[in-house]
Amino acid sequence: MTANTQADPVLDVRDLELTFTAGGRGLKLLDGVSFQVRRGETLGLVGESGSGKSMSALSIMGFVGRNRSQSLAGSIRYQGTELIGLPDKQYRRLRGNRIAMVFQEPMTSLDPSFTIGSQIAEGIRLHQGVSRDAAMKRVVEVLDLVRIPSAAQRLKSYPHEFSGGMRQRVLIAMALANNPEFIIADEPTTALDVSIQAQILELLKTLQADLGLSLLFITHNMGVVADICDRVAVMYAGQIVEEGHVLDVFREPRHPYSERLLAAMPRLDATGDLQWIPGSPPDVDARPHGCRFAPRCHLAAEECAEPQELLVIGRGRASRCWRSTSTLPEVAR
Amino acid sequence: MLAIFAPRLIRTAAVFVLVTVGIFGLTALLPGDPALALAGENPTPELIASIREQLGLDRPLYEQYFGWLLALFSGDLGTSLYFGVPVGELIIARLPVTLSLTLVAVVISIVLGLAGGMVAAARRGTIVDRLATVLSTIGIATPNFWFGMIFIIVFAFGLGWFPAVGYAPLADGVGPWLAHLILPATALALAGAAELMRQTRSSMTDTLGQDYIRTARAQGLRPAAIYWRRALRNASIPLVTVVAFQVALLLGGVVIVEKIFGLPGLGSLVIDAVFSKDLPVVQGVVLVNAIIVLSLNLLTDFLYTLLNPKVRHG
Amino acid sequence: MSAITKTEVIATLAGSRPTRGRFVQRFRRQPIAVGALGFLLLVSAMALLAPWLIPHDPYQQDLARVLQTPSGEHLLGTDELGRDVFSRLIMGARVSLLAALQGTTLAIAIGLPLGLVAGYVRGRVDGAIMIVTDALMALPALVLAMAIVAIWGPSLTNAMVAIGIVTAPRALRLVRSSVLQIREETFIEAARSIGTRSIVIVLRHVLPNVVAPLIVFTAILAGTVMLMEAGLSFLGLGVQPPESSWGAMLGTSFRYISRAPLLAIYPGLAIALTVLALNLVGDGIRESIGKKLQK
Repeated sequence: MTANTQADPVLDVRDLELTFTAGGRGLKLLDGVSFQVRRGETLGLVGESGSGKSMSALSIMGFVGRNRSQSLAGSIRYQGTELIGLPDKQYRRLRGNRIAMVFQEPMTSLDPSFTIGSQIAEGIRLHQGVSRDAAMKRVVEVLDLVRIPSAAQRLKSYPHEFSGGMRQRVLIAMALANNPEFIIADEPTTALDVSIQAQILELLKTLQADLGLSLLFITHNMGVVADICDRVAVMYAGQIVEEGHVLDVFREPRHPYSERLLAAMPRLDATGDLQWIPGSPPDVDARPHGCRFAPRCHLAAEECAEPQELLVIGRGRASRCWRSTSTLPEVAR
Repeated sequence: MLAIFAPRLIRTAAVFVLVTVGIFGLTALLPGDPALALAGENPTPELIASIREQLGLDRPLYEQYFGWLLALFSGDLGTSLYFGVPVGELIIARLPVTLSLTLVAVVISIVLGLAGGMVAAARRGTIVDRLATVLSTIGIATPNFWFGMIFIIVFAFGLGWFPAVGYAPLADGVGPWLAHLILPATALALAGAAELMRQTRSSMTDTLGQDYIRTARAQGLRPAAIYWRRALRNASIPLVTVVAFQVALLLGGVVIVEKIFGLPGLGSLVIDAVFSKDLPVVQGVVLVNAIIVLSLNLLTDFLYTLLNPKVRHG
Repeated sequence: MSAITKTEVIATLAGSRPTRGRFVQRFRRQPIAVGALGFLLLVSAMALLAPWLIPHDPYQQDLARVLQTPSGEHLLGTDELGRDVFSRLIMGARVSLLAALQGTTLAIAIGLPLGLVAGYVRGRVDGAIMIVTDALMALPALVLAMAIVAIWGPSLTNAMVAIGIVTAPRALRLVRSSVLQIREETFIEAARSIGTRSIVIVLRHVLPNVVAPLIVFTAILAGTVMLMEAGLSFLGLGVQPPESSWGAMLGTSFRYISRAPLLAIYPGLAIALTVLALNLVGDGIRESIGKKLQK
């Protein structure tokens, strides 16, 4: 196990491949995915449904790719430790402890039969080995952190006594309970009302800054990326198609798909019709041999029939389009 | 919490009243002159008259009903036409036997059913699971009295492990008490265990697919802890109703099993009463049974409310 | 509501009829259910053709040859009166199956219309029906059936009527809960909105969707009814001699259980296998019905 210095990324994913085997056929849900999350930074993982962004998260957590019909290839290094093939016992020591995850559906992600206090405390007692009282003290601390009012009283409350936004805060508190270094947030605001979304995003930003967390933020919403992420990786059909600092990518997208995603963002100052991307992503077993976005791409050409490599086009900047070495032609709006 | 229960209690009371009407109405079902039908072969006019008086058949129907009901509430269930003793006495004498049998059967049923279902759910899709499903399908389809007969043949006559007939009261020692009850209780319990096993498996499988289990895994909780503490807790909520239903069925199933194993309980009492057309006894046993079932339903609702926090707080 | 024309609504309502082809297809893909159905057909055929299949007269007593073990002459041996067990078993199939049919039909005949009414009309009618149903269900089924039979006199018909009455509440509940689900569907609302009379709605739109779960339930109910008939006949309250059902055969064999244990095996096995087959077919039907509602 190599020593992990301050400069090394907290999470280093290289050439990750996730294959589901069904009926003798292998479906490659993730096809050579690589990205890194550095200390204290927020990486956004963006894409449509089925792009593989959630699967990436689940692979990191060890929830997929670890049984008979699923397999992982490549490397997922957390603080220098290789996660692929890591024995279950050791993986469990990481989960909810060093690496925590917040999911999309706050309404159903809390156990309805137990108080929120006992649910959060269970994780604390497991990983920190403290007494029940000490654990409850910590529960109050984290509930305060996420701004749940009257935290000490609400220990004994059940999930159904909280609104959606509050439940998500509880889940974030649960994730923070054991001082993790790394948090994966899988569309944590998608299921919430827009006004609550803003609050939760604000909360996450503050917590990250205060606690020095590294955050992998998964979303399909470019607006949210702009709000909370430092860097962004765009996924399409199981691959990363563009990567870079948020400001760079937003100002000058170097992949037609990212460019279309950005154009599709509704803006108050836009005129004309809403932009959208025709067609839909290819099924896992029906992917084109060449560029996977080509069928829907307005800039498709002969060169796109070849499989596209992820080209490094600058410091921390990459794109899987052969056109990316130059600025993309402007599309008539 | 009482507020939740008031309507349920009232409804149960209404159902109970209807039950009493139904039980009382059994006499009305008797074709022709009830007294004649109950008097048996070659009755004398005096016998018929005394039966008629005993049953109060000379009074209008609703008066008869209320008289009967009133007597009921003061503990008078009538007198056995066959034994000549108060029905209440007969029932009280035999109740412990049936209750013992039912109790042991329920315990066996829950242990087998719950454990079987949890194992099957944990090992979904494997041989263990398939075997469990097959066994449960067989268990549900087989008549309990046939199981009883097979057990007698194999375990009593064949292996000689347990007695084939008779009952030993608990006062005489737990050993003999259990020895006499094991075979009949198991015969009774198998169908219920089979059904409970299916429901448990199904409920556990549903629960394990829930988002909050995913959260528990993300917390790094151990699989055993998640399974036996979190999942079971949530899965057992719907199972309470299943168990209650099975217990109610058990009460009905004791009848033939008691007869086969020679257990002097309410079941064999009611069989004899049916054959001797001893209507007051039949009515008494049916009534006791109904009271137990209705109380059980109320208890189940209470337990359900206790287990399900959402219902508790409304 | 937007301006939908009456013709458009009727067009929606006059939708697809059940796709029988797809159901058969799906059913055929379940080997266990198919096997069970085959078994049931076999037993039914055996029951129908019984008079021609039996090697001996099932009522013929031969007191010189009682309780014999299986032999070439008597495939399954003889019973306590010297009668051929094999022949009695086949004849017993007739009685048991017919009885199951009778009891089940009666239960459905009572439960279906009442369940439809209770589920669709709701309100006080539903409340009244449900209280009566709950009262009936609080009483032990077998004991109640026994009591009714005792009062009317033991006979197979009386037993089956009693069982039918006693199991009707379950059918009623099933139909009612189906109806409760279906009536919330929008196509029902659509029908109501164009003024279709309730009874037409119930018969044309609700009923077809109740049929599917009802058929599954009927298969399972038939098994239960068969078990109950076996119980009553076992005690001597059902079929009366010289007729015999499997349950009655079990009942008489009990008296000789120490001398001829095998006698108890055959009829019990027959009952268990038949009920098992009914349950498996029911499960198979449940798996094969599409989830789509028929509008």
